[in-house]
Amino acid sequence: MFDAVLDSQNSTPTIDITWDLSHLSLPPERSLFVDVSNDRVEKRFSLSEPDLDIGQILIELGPEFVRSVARLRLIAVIRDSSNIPIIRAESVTVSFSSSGESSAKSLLVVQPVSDLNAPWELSFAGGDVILNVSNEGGLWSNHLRLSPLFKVLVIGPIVYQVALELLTSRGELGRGMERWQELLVSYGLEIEDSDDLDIEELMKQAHDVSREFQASRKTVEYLLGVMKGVDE
Amino acid sequence: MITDLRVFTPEGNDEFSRLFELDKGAIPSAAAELASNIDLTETFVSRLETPIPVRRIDLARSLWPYLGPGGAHEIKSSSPLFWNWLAARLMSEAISASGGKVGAKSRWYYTEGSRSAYRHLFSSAFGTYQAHHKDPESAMSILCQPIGVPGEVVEQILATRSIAGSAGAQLATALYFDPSTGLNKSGSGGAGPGSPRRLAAFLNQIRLTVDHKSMSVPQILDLLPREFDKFK
Repeated sequence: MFDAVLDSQNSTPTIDITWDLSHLSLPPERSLFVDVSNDRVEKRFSLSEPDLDIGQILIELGPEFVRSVARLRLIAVIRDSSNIPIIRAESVTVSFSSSGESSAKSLLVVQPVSDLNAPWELSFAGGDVILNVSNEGGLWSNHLRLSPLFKVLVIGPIVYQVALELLTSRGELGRGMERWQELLVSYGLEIEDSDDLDIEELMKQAHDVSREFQASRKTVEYLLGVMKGVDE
Repeated sequence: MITDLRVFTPEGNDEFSRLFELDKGAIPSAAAELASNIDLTETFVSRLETPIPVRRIDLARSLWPYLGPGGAHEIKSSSPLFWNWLAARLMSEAISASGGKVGAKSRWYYTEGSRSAYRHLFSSAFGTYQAHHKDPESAMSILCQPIGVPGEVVEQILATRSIAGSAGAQLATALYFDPSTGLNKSGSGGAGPGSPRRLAAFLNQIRLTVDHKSMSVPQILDLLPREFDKFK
Protein backbone atom coordinates (compact mmCIF):
# COMPACT_ATOMS: atom_id res chain seq x y z
CA MET A 1 0.00 0.00 0.00
CA PHE A 2 1.24 3.47 -0.81
CA ASP A 3 -0.50 6.80 -0.58
CA ALA A 4 0.52 10.43 -0.86
CA VAL A 5 -1.28 13.65 -0.01
CA LEU A 6 0.00 16.96 -1.33
CA ASP A 7 -0.45 20.23 0.55
CA SER A 8 0.48 23.03 -1.84
CA GLN A 9 -1.28 25.86 -0.03
CA ASN A 10 1.91 27.22 1.54
CA SER A 11 5.07 28.67 0.00
CA THR A 12 6.78 25.37 0.83
CA PRO A 13 4.57 22.53 -0.36
CA THR A 14 4.64 19.28 1.58
CA ILE A 15 3.82 15.71 0.76
CA ASP A 16 2.54 13.35 3.42
CA ILE A 17 3.48 9.82 2.43
CA THR A 18 2.31 6.59 4.02
CA TRP A 19 3.37 3.11 3.06
CA ASP A 20 2.85 -0.49 4.04
CA LEU A 21 5.30 -2.88 2.41
CA SER A 22 4.80 -5.73 4.88
CA HIS A 23 3.28 -8.02 2.26
CA LEU A 24 6.36 -7.74 0.00
CA SER A 25 8.80 -9.58 2.30
CA LEU A 26 11.58 -7.15 1.46
CA PRO A 27 15.04 -7.87 2.86
CA PRO A 28 16.06 -5.52 5.70
CA GLU A 29 19.07 -4.13 3.84
CA ARG A 30 16.97 -2.27 1.29
CA SER A 31 16.87 1.47 0.61
CA LEU A 32 13.64 3.37 0.15
CA PHE A 33 13.47 6.41 -2.10
CA VAL A 34 10.73 8.80 -3.12
CA ASP A 35 11.20 10.39 -6.55
CA VAL A 36 9.22 13.59 -7.01
CA SER A 37 9.09 15.43 -10.31
CA ASN A 38 7.25 18.01 -12.32
CA ASP A 39 7.82 18.96 -15.92
CA ARG A 40 11.06 20.77 -15.09
CA VAL A 41 12.52 19.39 -11.88
CA GLU A 42 13.12 16.00 -10.38
CA LYS A 43 14.15 15.37 -6.79
CA ARG A 44 14.92 12.23 -4.86
CA PHE A 45 14.34 11.84 -1.14
CA SER A 46 15.78 8.99 0.92
CA LEU A 47 13.47 7.74 3.60
CA SER A 48 15.29 7.93 6.88
CA GLU A 49 14.00 4.67 8.30
CA PRO A 50 14.04 2.33 5.32
CA ASP A 51 13.84 -0.75 7.53
CA LEU A 52 10.28 0.12 8.51
CA ASP A 53 7.74 -1.92 6.58
CA ILE A 54 4.99 0.41 7.66
CA GLY A 55 5.68 4.10 7.93
CA GLN A 56 4.72 7.68 7.35
CA ILE A 57 6.80 10.74 6.51
CA LEU A 58 6.17 14.39 5.77
CA ILE A 59 8.49 15.72 3.07
CA GLU A 60 9.04 19.42 2.46
CA LEU A 61 9.49 20.23 -1.20
CA GLY A 62 11.32 23.27 -2.55
CA PRO A 63 9.74 26.38 -4.06
CA GLU A 64 10.22 24.89 -7.50
CA PHE A 65 7.25 22.67 -6.67
CA VAL A 66 4.94 25.50 -5.65
CA ARG A 67 3.22 25.70 -8.97
CA SER A 68 3.10 22.05 -9.84
CA VAL A 69 3.96 18.65 -8.50
CA ALA A 70 3.38 16.35 -11.35
CA ARG A 71 4.05 12.95 -9.90
CA LEU A 72 5.87 10.83 -7.39
CA ARG A 73 6.71 7.21 -6.78
CA LEU A 74 8.22 5.15 -3.98
CA ILE A 75 10.85 2.54 -4.79
CA ALA A 76 12.59 -0.08 -2.71
CA VAL A 77 16.14 -0.83 -3.86
CA ILE A 78 18.44 -3.69 -2.95
CA ARG A 79 22.02 -4.35 -4.08
CA ASP A 80 22.86 -7.52 -5.95
CA SER A 81 26.15 -9.40 -5.55
CA SER A 82 27.81 -7.01 -8.04
CA ASN A 83 26.59 -4.01 -6.04
CA ILE A 84 24.14 -3.07 -8.79
CA PRO A 85 21.08 -1.35 -7.29
CA ILE A 86 18.06 -3.40 -8.26
CA ILE A 87 14.52 -2.06 -7.98
CA ARG A 88 12.88 -4.67 -5.80
CA ALA A 89 9.50 -2.93 -5.60
CA GLU A 90 7.96 0.16 -7.11
CA SER A 91 4.75 1.88 -6.18
CA VAL A 92 2.22 3.10 -8.66
CA THR A 93 3.06 6.62 -9.76
CA VAL A 94 0.79 9.14 -8.06
CA SER A 95 0.03 12.27 -10.06
CA PHE A 96 -1.30 15.58 -8.84
CA SER A 97 -3.08 18.36 -10.59
CA SER A 98 -1.76 21.92 -10.12
CA SER A 99 -4.40 22.41 -7.43
CA GLY A 100 -2.93 19.51 -5.47
CA GLU A 101 -5.67 17.05 -6.24
CA SER A 102 -4.38 13.51 -6.54
CA SER A 103 -5.10 11.97 -9.86
CA ALA A 104 -3.77 8.52 -9.15
CA LYS A 105 -5.90 6.37 -11.38
CA SER A 106 -5.94 3.46 -13.70
CA LEU A 107 -4.89 3.83 -17.31
CA LEU A 108 -8.44 3.30 -18.40
CA VAL A 109 -11.44 4.79 -16.61
CA VAL A 110 -14.53 2.67 -17.26
CA GLN A 111 -17.70 4.74 -17.18
CA PRO A 112 -21.12 3.10 -17.58
CA VAL A 113 -23.52 5.31 -19.53
CA SER A 114 -27.21 4.54 -19.36
CA ASP A 115 -28.20 6.06 -22.70
CA LEU A 116 -25.26 5.09 -24.92
CA ASN A 117 -26.68 3.36 -27.98
CA ALA A 118 -23.40 1.75 -29.01
CA PRO A 119 -21.71 -1.00 -26.96
CA TRP A 120 -18.79 1.28 -26.13
CA GLU A 121 -16.87 4.33 -27.21
CA LEU A 122 -13.67 5.99 -26.13
CA SER A 123 -13.23 9.60 -25.06
CA PHE A 124 -10.34 11.72 -23.80
CA ALA A 125 -10.66 14.31 -21.05
CA GLY A 126 -7.92 16.07 -19.11
CA GLY A 127 -5.47 13.22 -19.47
CA ASP A 128 -8.04 10.52 -18.71
CA VAL A 129 -8.79 7.84 -21.24
CA ILE A 130 -12.43 7.04 -20.64
CA LEU A 131 -14.10 3.89 -21.85
CA ASN A 132 -17.78 4.74 -21.98
CA VAL A 133 -19.78 1.51 -21.96
CA SER A 134 -23.46 1.20 -22.58
CA ASN A 135 -25.45 0.29 -19.52
CA GLU A 136 -28.74 0.42 -21.33
CA GLY A 137 -30.94 -2.34 -19.87
CA GLY A 138 -28.10 -3.24 -17.49
CA LEU A 139 -25.85 -4.25 -20.39
CA TRP A 140 -22.63 -3.31 -18.59
CA SER A 141 -23.45 -4.05 -14.97
CA ASN A 142 -25.23 -7.36 -15.66
CA HIS A 143 -23.39 -8.71 -18.67
CA LEU A 144 -20.31 -7.01 -20.13
CA ARG A 145 -18.65 -6.34 -16.77
CA LEU A 146 -18.71 -10.05 -16.02
CA SER A 147 -17.64 -11.19 -19.46
CA PRO A 148 -14.06 -12.44 -19.79
CA LEU A 149 -14.23 -11.61 -23.49
CA PHE A 150 -15.21 -7.97 -23.40
CA LYS A 151 -11.97 -6.25 -22.45
CA VAL A 152 -9.77 -8.50 -24.53
CA LEU A 153 -11.93 -7.79 -27.58
CA VAL A 154 -11.91 -4.03 -27.16
CA ILE A 155 -8.31 -3.50 -26.03
CA GLY A 156 -6.90 -3.52 -29.56
CA PRO A 157 -9.12 -0.71 -30.85
CA ILE A 158 -8.56 1.18 -27.59
CA VAL A 159 -4.78 1.01 -27.95
CA TYR A 160 -5.12 2.08 -31.59
CA GLN A 161 -7.18 5.14 -30.65
CA VAL A 162 -4.89 6.10 -27.77
CA ALA A 163 -1.77 5.73 -29.92
CA LEU A 164 -3.29 7.84 -32.67
CA GLU A 165 -4.36 10.49 -30.16
CA LEU A 166 -0.81 10.62 -28.76
CA LEU A 167 0.72 10.82 -32.22
CA THR A 168 -1.56 13.55 -33.51
CA SER A 169 -1.72 15.70 -30.37
CA ARG A 170 2.05 15.68 -29.73
CA GLY A 171 2.23 16.66 -26.10
CA GLU A 172 -0.79 18.89 -25.88
CA LEU A 173 -2.82 16.37 -23.91
CA GLY A 174 -3.21 16.26 -20.14
CA ARG A 175 -0.66 14.72 -17.82
CA GLY A 176 -2.45 11.43 -17.42
CA MET A 177 -1.54 10.47 -20.97
CA GLU A 178 2.14 10.22 -19.99
CA ARG A 179 1.59 6.75 -18.60
CA TRP A 180 0.03 5.61 -21.83
CA GLN A 181 2.94 7.08 -23.74
CA GLU A 182 5.47 5.32 -21.52
CA LEU A 183 3.56 2.08 -21.95
CA LEU A 184 3.25 2.25 -25.72
CA VAL A 185 6.82 3.34 -26.45
CA SER A 186 7.91 -0.24 -25.91
CA TYR A 187 5.44 -1.32 -28.61
CA GLY A 188 6.83 1.05 -31.23
CA LEU A 189 5.22 4.41 -30.52
CA GLU A 190 7.57 7.18 -31.69
CA ILE A 191 6.10 10.54 -30.81
CA GLU A 192 9.31 12.44 -31.55
CA ASP A 193 9.15 11.73 -35.26
CA SER A 194 5.43 12.19 -35.72
CA ASP A 195 5.75 15.80 -36.89
CA ASP A 196 7.25 14.55 -40.11
CA LEU A 197 4.53 11.99 -40.87
CA ASP A 198 1.19 12.41 -42.59
CA ILE A 199 -2.04 11.08 -41.11
CA GLU A 200 -1.95 7.83 -43.06
CA GLU A 201 1.52 7.07 -41.73
CA LEU A 202 0.39 7.93 -38.20
CA MET A 203 -2.60 5.62 -38.57
CA LYS A 204 -0.29 2.88 -39.80
CA GLN A 205 1.97 3.36 -36.79
CA ALA A 206 -1.00 3.34 -34.40
CA HIS A 207 -2.21 0.14 -36.05
CA ASP A 208 1.20 -1.49 -35.66
CA VAL A 209 1.44 -0.43 -32.01
CA SER A 210 -1.99 -1.93 -31.34
CA ARG A 211 -1.09 -5.16 -33.11
CA GLU A 212 2.21 -5.44 -31.22
CA PHE A 213 0.47 -4.72 -27.91
CA GLN A 214 -2.09 -7.46 -28.51
CA ALA A 215 0.57 -9.90 -29.62
CA SER A 216 2.63 -9.32 -26.48
CA ARG A 217 -0.45 -9.70 -24.29
CA LYS A 218 -1.26 -12.97 -26.08
CA THR A 219 -4.86 -11.93 -26.60
CA VAL A 220 -5.51 -14.62 -29.20
CA GLU A 221 -4.18 -17.33 -26.91
CA TYR A 222 -6.32 -15.94 -24.10
CA LEU A 223 -9.40 -15.99 -26.31
CA LEU A 224 -8.67 -19.58 -27.37
CA GLY A 225 -8.36 -20.54 -23.70
CA VAL A 226 -11.70 -18.94 -22.89
CA MET A 227 -13.37 -20.61 -25.86
CA LYS A 228 -12.01 -24.01 -24.90
CA GLY A 229 -13.45 -23.47 -21.45
CA VAL A 230 -16.82 -22.66 -23.02
CA ASP A 231 -16.66 -25.76 -25.23
CA GLU A 232 -15.86 -28.01 -22.31
CA MET B 1 22.10 43.23 -24.47
CA ILE B 2 19.37 42.18 -22.03
CA THR B 3 18.48 45.22 -19.96
CA ASP B 4 15.64 43.83 -17.88
CA LEU B 5 13.73 40.69 -17.00
CA ARG B 6 9.98 40.64 -17.31
CA VAL B 7 6.97 38.40 -17.20
CA PHE B 8 4.06 38.53 -19.56
CA THR B 9 0.74 39.51 -18.15
CA PRO B 10 -1.82 36.74 -18.78
CA GLU B 11 -3.07 38.82 -21.72
CA GLY B 12 0.49 39.15 -23.04
CA ASN B 13 0.97 35.43 -22.71
CA ASP B 14 -2.20 34.75 -24.70
CA GLU B 15 -1.05 37.22 -27.31
CA PHE B 16 2.28 35.41 -27.58
CA SER B 17 0.49 32.10 -28.04
CA ARG B 18 -1.55 33.59 -30.87
CA LEU B 19 1.57 34.79 -32.69
CA PHE B 20 2.18 31.25 -33.85
CA GLU B 21 -0.88 31.47 -36.05
CA LEU B 22 0.98 34.09 -38.12
CA ASP B 23 3.17 33.43 -41.10
CA LYS B 24 6.39 32.04 -39.57
CA GLY B 25 8.52 34.77 -41.08
CA ALA B 26 6.52 37.42 -39.27
CA ILE B 27 6.75 35.84 -35.82
CA PRO B 28 10.23 36.98 -34.61
CA SER B 29 9.65 40.68 -35.14
CA ALA B 30 6.14 40.47 -33.67
CA ALA B 31 7.56 38.59 -30.67
CA ALA B 32 10.24 41.24 -30.10
CA GLU B 33 7.61 43.95 -30.22
CA LEU B 34 5.41 42.07 -27.79
CA ALA B 35 8.31 41.46 -25.37
CA SER B 36 8.86 45.20 -25.04
CA ASN B 37 5.18 46.13 -24.73
CA ILE B 38 4.84 47.78 -21.33
CA ASP B 39 1.11 47.10 -21.21
CA LEU B 40 1.50 43.36 -21.68
CA THR B 41 4.64 42.79 -19.57
CA GLU B 42 5.76 43.49 -16.01
CA THR B 43 9.41 44.17 -15.22
CA PHE B 44 10.86 42.45 -12.13
CA VAL B 45 14.59 43.08 -12.67
CA SER B 46 15.81 46.27 -14.33
CA ARG B 47 19.05 48.09 -15.12
CA LEU B 48 20.76 44.93 -16.37
CA GLU B 49 23.64 44.87 -18.82
CA THR B 50 23.64 41.19 -19.63
CA PRO B 51 25.12 40.16 -22.98
CA ILE B 52 22.85 38.07 -25.19
CA PRO B 53 23.69 34.48 -24.22
CA VAL B 54 25.28 32.37 -26.90
CA ARG B 55 25.14 28.87 -25.45
CA ARG B 56 22.53 27.17 -23.30
CA ILE B 57 24.86 27.26 -20.31
CA ASP B 58 25.45 31.00 -20.76
CA LEU B 59 21.71 31.58 -20.63
CA ALA B 60 21.32 29.52 -17.45
CA ARG B 61 24.27 31.17 -15.74
CA SER B 62 23.02 34.65 -16.51
CA LEU B 63 19.60 33.85 -14.99
CA TRP B 64 20.88 31.87 -12.02
CA PRO B 65 21.47 34.82 -9.64
CA TYR B 66 17.84 35.86 -10.00
CA LEU B 67 15.99 32.57 -10.46
CA GLY B 68 18.24 30.09 -8.66
CA PRO B 69 17.70 28.85 -5.10
CA GLY B 70 17.49 31.76 -2.71
CA GLY B 71 17.32 34.24 -5.57
CA ALA B 72 14.84 37.06 -5.14
CA HIS B 73 12.74 35.77 -8.01
CA GLU B 74 13.15 32.02 -7.63
CA ILE B 75 9.42 31.51 -8.00
CA LYS B 76 9.63 32.85 -11.56
CA SER B 77 11.73 29.85 -12.56
CA SER B 78 8.57 27.79 -12.85
CA SER B 79 6.38 30.46 -14.38
CA PRO B 80 5.28 30.13 -18.01
CA LEU B 81 4.76 33.90 -17.97
CA PHE B 82 8.50 34.38 -17.56
CA TRP B 83 9.72 31.68 -19.94
CA ASN B 84 7.37 32.82 -22.67
CA TRP B 85 8.43 36.43 -22.25
CA LEU B 86 12.10 35.37 -22.46
CA ALA B 87 11.37 33.34 -25.57
CA ALA B 88 9.72 36.35 -27.18
CA ARG B 89 12.62 38.59 -26.11
CA LEU B 90 15.36 36.28 -27.45
CA MET B 91 13.64 34.69 -30.43
CA SER B 92 15.24 36.90 -33.05
CA GLU B 93 18.72 36.54 -31.58
CA ALA B 94 18.39 32.79 -31.16
CA ILE B 95 17.27 32.35 -34.73
CA SER B 96 19.74 34.72 -36.36
CA ALA B 97 22.71 33.29 -34.44
CA SER B 98 21.90 29.78 -35.59
CA GLY B 99 20.66 30.58 -39.06
CA GLY B 100 17.65 28.53 -38.15
CA LYS B 101 13.88 28.84 -38.38
CA VAL B 102 11.11 29.41 -35.89
CA GLY B 103 10.10 25.73 -36.02
CA ALA B 104 7.59 24.18 -33.65
CA LYS B 105 5.64 26.33 -31.22
CA SER B 106 6.75 24.12 -28.32
CA ARG B 107 10.31 25.43 -28.78
CA TRP B 108 9.11 28.88 -27.72
CA TYR B 109 5.80 28.56 -25.96
CA TYR B 110 6.00 26.88 -22.58
CA THR B 111 2.88 25.09 -21.39
CA GLU B 112 3.08 23.94 -17.82
CA GLY B 113 2.56 20.22 -17.48
CA SER B 114 2.79 19.56 -21.18
CA ARG B 115 4.76 16.51 -22.22
CA SER B 116 6.62 18.67 -24.72
CA ALA B 117 7.68 21.23 -22.08
CA TYR B 118 11.24 19.93 -22.32
CA ARG B 119 11.40 21.28 -25.86
CA HIS B 120 11.23 24.88 -24.66
CA LEU B 121 14.62 26.28 -25.65
CA PHE B 122 15.15 28.44 -22.59
CA SER B 123 13.25 26.70 -19.82
CA SER B 124 14.95 23.40 -20.65
CA ALA B 125 18.42 24.97 -20.52
CA PHE B 126 17.74 26.50 -17.13
CA GLY B 127 16.08 23.33 -15.84
CA THR B 128 19.11 21.28 -16.85
CA TYR B 129 21.45 23.73 -15.14
CA GLN B 130 19.20 23.72 -12.08
CA ALA B 131 19.30 19.93 -11.86
CA HIS B 132 23.10 19.93 -12.12
CA HIS B 133 23.98 23.28 -10.57
CA LYS B 134 26.45 21.74 -8.14
CA ASP B 135 28.45 20.44 -11.08
CA PRO B 136 27.22 21.96 -14.35
CA GLU B 137 30.26 20.61 -16.19
CA SER B 138 28.76 17.14 -15.75
CA ALA B 139 25.80 18.15 -17.94
CA MET B 140 27.71 19.96 -20.66
CA SER B 141 26.51 17.53 -23.32
CA ILE B 142 23.10 19.20 -23.06
CA LEU B 143 24.28 22.69 -22.12
CA CYS B 144 27.01 23.36 -24.68
CA GLN B 145 24.75 24.06 -27.66
CA PRO B 146 23.75 27.45 -29.10
CA ILE B 147 20.50 28.57 -27.50
CA GLY B 148 18.55 28.18 -30.74
CA VAL B 149 19.92 24.78 -31.78
CA PRO B 150 19.64 22.22 -28.99
CA GLY B 151 20.20 19.25 -31.28
CA GLU B 152 19.84 15.51 -30.97
CA VAL B 153 21.58 14.94 -27.63
CA VAL B 154 19.30 17.44 -25.89
CA GLU B 155 16.20 16.06 -27.58
CA GLN B 156 16.90 12.46 -26.68
CA ILE B 157 18.11 12.97 -23.13
CA LEU B 158 15.52 15.52 -22.06
CA ALA B 159 12.60 13.65 -23.62
CA THR B 160 12.52 11.27 -20.67
CA ARG B 161 12.22 13.22 -17.46
CA SER B 162 13.43 10.41 -15.27
CA ILE B 163 16.80 10.27 -16.99
CA ALA B 164 17.21 13.97 -17.76
CA GLY B 165 17.69 15.12 -14.19
CA SER B 166 20.20 12.50 -13.18
CA ALA B 167 22.33 9.92 -14.86
CA GLY B 168 21.22 10.63 -18.41
CA ALA B 169 22.84 14.04 -18.70
CA GLN B 170 25.99 12.97 -16.90
CA LEU B 171 26.30 9.80 -18.92
CA ALA B 172 25.75 11.67 -22.17
CA THR B 173 28.46 14.13 -21.15
CA ALA B 174 30.89 11.32 -20.36
CA LEU B 175 30.20 9.76 -23.75
CA TYR B 176 29.59 12.59 -26.17
CA PHE B 177 31.10 15.81 -24.82
CA ASP B 178 34.64 16.77 -25.76
CA PRO B 179 36.04 19.19 -23.14
CA SER B 180 38.90 20.15 -25.44
CA THR B 181 36.54 21.67 -28.00
CA GLY B 182 33.63 22.54 -25.73
CA LEU B 183 31.36 20.73 -28.18
CA ASN B 184 29.76 17.33 -28.53
CA LYS B 185 31.82 14.84 -30.51
CA SER B 186 31.29 14.31 -34.18
CA GLY B 187 28.81 11.50 -34.76
CA SER B 188 26.86 12.12 -31.58
CA GLY B 189 23.99 13.62 -33.56
CA GLY B 190 23.11 10.43 -35.39
CA ALA B 191 20.53 7.76 -34.67
CA GLY B 192 22.61 4.62 -35.13
CA PRO B 193 24.55 2.40 -32.72
CA GLY B 194 25.97 4.32 -29.79
CA SER B 195 23.82 7.38 -30.52
CA PRO B 196 21.96 9.46 -27.90
CA ARG B 197 18.74 7.88 -29.11
CA ARG B 198 20.14 4.45 -28.34
CA LEU B 199 21.45 5.68 -24.98
CA ALA B 200 18.00 6.97 -24.00
CA ALA B 201 16.46 3.70 -25.13
CA PHE B 202 18.98 1.72 -23.08
CA LEU B 203 18.39 3.80 -19.94
CA ASN B 204 14.65 3.57 -20.39
CA GLN B 205 14.98 -0.17 -20.67
CA ILE B 206 17.14 -0.78 -17.61
CA ARG B 207 15.32 1.69 -15.39
CA LEU B 208 12.52 -0.81 -15.01
CA THR B 209 14.82 -3.02 -12.97
CA VAL B 210 18.01 -1.08 -12.24
CA ASP B 211 17.96 2.07 -10.12
CA HIS B 212 20.50 4.02 -12.16
CA LYS B 213 20.01 7.06 -9.96
CA SER B 214 21.81 5.15 -7.22
CA MET B 215 24.77 4.47 -9.51
CA SER B 216 27.83 6.48 -10.40
CA VAL B 217 28.54 7.34 -14.03
CA PRO B 218 31.51 4.93 -14.23
CA GLN B 219 29.26 2.16 -12.91
CA ILE B 220 26.68 2.79 -15.62
CA LEU B 221 29.36 3.10 -18.28
CA ASP B 222 30.41 -0.42 -17.36
CA LEU B 223 26.87 -1.63 -18.02
CA LEU B 224 26.59 -0.08 -21.48
CA PRO B 225 26.54 -2.38 -24.49
CA ARG B 226 29.61 -2.42 -26.73
CA GLU B 227 27.97 -0.20 -29.33
CA PHE B 228 28.87 2.77 -27.09
CA ASP B 229 32.57 1.91 -26.93
CA LYS B 230 33.43 4.23 -29.81
CA PHE B 231 32.38 7.22 -27.70
CA LYS B 232 34.09 6.16 -24.47
